Amino acid sequence: MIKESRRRSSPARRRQIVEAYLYLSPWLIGYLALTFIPVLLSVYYSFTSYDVISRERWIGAQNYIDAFTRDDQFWPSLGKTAYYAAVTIPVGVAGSLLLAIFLNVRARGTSVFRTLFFMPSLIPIVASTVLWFWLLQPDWGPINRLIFNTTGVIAPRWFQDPSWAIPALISLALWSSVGGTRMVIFLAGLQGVSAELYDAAKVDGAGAMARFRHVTLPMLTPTIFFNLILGIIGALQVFTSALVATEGGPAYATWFYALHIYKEAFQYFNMGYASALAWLFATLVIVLTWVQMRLARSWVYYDGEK
Amino acid sequence: MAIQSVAATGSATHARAGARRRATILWLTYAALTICGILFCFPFLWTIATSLKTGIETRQIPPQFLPEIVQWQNYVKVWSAQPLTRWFTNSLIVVGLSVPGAVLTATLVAYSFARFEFPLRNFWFMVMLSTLMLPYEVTLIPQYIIYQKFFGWVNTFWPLIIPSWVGGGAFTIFLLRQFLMTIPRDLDDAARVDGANSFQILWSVLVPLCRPALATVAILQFLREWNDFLGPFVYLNDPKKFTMSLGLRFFQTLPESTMEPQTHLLMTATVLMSVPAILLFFSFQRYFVQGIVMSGLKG
Amino acid sequence: MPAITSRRSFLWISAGVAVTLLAACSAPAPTPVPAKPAAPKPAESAKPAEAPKPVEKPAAAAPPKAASGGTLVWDTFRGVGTPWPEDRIKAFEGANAGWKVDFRPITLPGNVQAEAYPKMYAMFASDTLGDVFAFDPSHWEFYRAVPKGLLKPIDDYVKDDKYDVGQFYAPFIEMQKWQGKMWGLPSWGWSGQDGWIYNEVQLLEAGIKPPDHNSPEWTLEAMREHVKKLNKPGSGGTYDRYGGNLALGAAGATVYTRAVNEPDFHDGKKSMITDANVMKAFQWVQDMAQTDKALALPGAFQGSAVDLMASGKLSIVQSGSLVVFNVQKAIKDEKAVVVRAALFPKRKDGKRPSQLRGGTWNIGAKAKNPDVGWKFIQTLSNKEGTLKFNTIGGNGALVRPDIMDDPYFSHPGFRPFLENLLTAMPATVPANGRGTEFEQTINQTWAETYLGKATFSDGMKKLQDAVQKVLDRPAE
Repeated sequence: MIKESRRRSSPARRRQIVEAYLYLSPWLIGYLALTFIPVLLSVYYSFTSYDVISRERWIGAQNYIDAFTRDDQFWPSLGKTAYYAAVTIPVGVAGSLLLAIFLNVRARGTSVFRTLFFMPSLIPIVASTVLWFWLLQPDWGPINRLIFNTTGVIAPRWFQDPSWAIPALISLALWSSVGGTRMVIFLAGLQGVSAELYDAAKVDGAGAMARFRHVTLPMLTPTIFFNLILGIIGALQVFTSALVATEGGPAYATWFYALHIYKEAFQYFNMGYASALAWLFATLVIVLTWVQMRLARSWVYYDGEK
Repeated sequence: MAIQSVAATGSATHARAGARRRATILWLTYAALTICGILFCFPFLWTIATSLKTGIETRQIPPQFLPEIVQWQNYVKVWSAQPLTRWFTNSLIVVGLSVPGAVLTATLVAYSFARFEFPLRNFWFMVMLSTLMLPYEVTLIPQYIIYQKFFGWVNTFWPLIIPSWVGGGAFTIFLLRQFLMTIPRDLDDAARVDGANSFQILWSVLVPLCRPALATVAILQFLREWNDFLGPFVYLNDPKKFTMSLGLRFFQTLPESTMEPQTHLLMTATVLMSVPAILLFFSFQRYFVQGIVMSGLKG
Repeated sequence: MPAITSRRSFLWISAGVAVTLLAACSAPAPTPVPAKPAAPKPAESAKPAEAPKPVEKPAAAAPPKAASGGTLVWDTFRGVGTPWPEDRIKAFEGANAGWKVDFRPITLPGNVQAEAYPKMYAMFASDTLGDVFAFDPSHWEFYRAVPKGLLKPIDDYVKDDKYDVGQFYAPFIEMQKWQGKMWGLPSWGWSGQDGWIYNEVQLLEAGIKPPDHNSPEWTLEAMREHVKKLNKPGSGGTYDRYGGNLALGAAGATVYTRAVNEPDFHDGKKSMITDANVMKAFQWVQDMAQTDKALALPGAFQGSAVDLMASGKLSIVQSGSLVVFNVQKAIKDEKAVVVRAALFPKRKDGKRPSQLRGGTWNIGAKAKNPDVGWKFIQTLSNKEGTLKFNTIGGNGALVRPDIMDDPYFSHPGFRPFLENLLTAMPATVPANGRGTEFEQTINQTWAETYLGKATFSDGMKKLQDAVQKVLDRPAE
């Protein structure tokens, strides 16, 4: 508010800019010193052929060209990642929101429940994958047995079947993230909705559903936006579960884009090519985020912004 | 709905029926939550059950859920099998030094993004967000070489702690920025009229209102550092400096190994490692339930 | 908590905590203990503050005479978590007064051994890699490390010390050689996935006579028959028991190709998968996988087939001698599972198909004390070291004949493999050094065929093209 009224170089304005940068400085210094240079290096490497041990060799845009023309897994891995994200993000974010709403009541035992739901996110992915293999084991695992005994339908062979490996991983992801960090953030967001707004709505005769739609949801949009952005970035980078569970298989079924980068970088030691892949990916995500941020203006409501 | 019907009819019977309906819904919700809750923490139960088995039991197919004879001694054995105490302490040190740094610096940086307009603000914001999007594979090796060649910090805790003191990561900054932006600027203005400078506004007005967010940041940073494997893996060479997450790998057997299966001890150590995290979460979340946001509009 | 702790006090408390922890954390990292040429203190290996520094000190003092003492840095992921490294360090320090070994274990992110290499390469690039480490041939990185100059050849040491390489089985020594020089001593090793390991109890139950791998009746067809007979399907496409499990990867493909008398399915530059005779080997696998549907295919179970077999859910594992030990260790009901093994039938040249797997102990090209490193790797690979590598180190190190009399190796399921240790065949190395990519491409692409997602001819053509593509890539 104050900003608009002053013109450029008034002393107050200048001081404000200095202050702004002062507060920004911890991050700025850290970024320039510890991130920027590696980032520059990685951009540089993306135009080279580099295997870490020996000097890199400049090859121009060949890596980028190869990605689109020679790499058999480039487009397929993008597709698989998109498929995975398209399911995990909406279901995951909506699920976390729902859980947070349920767990926001001030009833006895809520804190216990919250902890119960949070626990999956605390388990190392290695341990939960082992368990998932048991759960989804096609011959003796509980899930398939249950399905067969109750419906007579023969469930798919999950991690052994290229068509069902990704759904299996999706279920693992949803289970381990729905009650986790995302939900905690939604909780904090729900707490931040001022009680007065609810009181005002009740006085106006709004029922529970209407209160949700007209008070909670709008006030929650910054949090939803936050979780959505991070959810998208996170889902697109899926790789640990695929690495641990199936190493990208069977038959490339879970060969996600981030896993592809990992393999190229740390198993095949094509660091230059991996850097190019990473930058292509970063560009995609930046564009997506930018689109999100533009769209946000139409649906995200910040109470503290004019 | 229930309130309206009471208001409308004003009859005591309706009020009782309404109360009964509310109670039923409450009980149903409890039941649903309990079932879901058990399903959700089932794997943790399984981890505990596995930690009480013998090595051979862990390898049976199909696996039995409960151990035949509960091996309580695993919880003693695991401490002597590997230097867990030292790893535990190391993890505590790293986390203890990281979390305050993250909370402090993230607040400062988020304040800048949320409350100030300055040239290149949106640019720097996008840059900051972009650090989330670059896969770690790509900056890992250049970062390692920088840490080594310029600072000589390989095999120390510094590479694990410093990131928290320069903002704690884009995630934390973004989170706090969102929260700060939900606080009405009227409060800032009121304080400014009273003669407060920017720091005082932050400290006296905004931070108290951000307690849920700060608590969240603290929890999340703790969890992230506590469970972090990659950082310690890359930068720590001396087993005496290992953190828990790294040390746990000592219980993993290689595929071409003829060692006794160690899965049971791995699970024991996993349980031990999870306990602080769970305790912390459990106690902190009570805090931000109680320390509720005060309505700033109350004057 | 909220009422008591005001913001101010929170700030002071956290600052105080931070300072205290900082102080505590600085304490252990104090005076970089300079390499003390003190009396040999058992184990408790040197506490280096920053790892590079202590190593630099001895180097500054002119190199030649090892008598002065110092620290040797050893980086490895093998034997981590077992008493073996300490045991070897003790033996070495006892015999070499004044020298300490700084053991720096490399933990693995997953369960795959190859994951240690990125870290080792990064350490090499930043000059923090130790004096002794391992770039294992079977992980293909050996063939990359040699041309890039990471390793120091040991030919001169062998000659000067008149070291007898004959103490090892010949194939494992051959494995240490590349481009005309020798680069290390054998660490772990076995003849690869060359065995036919079966559960004798289940075999007899099914009325099958335990195989005699010298009999002319023992053929690939006979092996297939066994798997088919032992397979027990359940209801609706599930299994009560799997008949067999094959080594379905690059190494397995090599063994099967060699079983039909071809040298390999590729020659390092050209892929020969679709050659008529080689196709017979792949057809054999396909028959068991899709026609008989008798195989335990990857993805249906966690970990290795070992647990399946030890639990009685799998009758035959086509793998190597280590599996015998591993299954034995996981058996719960000794009456239900008795592990025995046979080898593949002899080929026309009298050998049985195999594909060597093994590792090495290398001395770094930039090692500060290579001579001492040479002494150290001898301590790792000598009779005692190798035996203990098996018994307490958890590795399969079948590289020396003189350990084979130890009771550890007396398991009857293991003895048949001794024959192959003498004549094990080396792997064919992709000429461009892209071994890992080669292996992974095969693992993933072949799966399409044996999982039944592609027809045999289409699938094999695809595999052929994919492998050729990798072999065609320029070396790097």
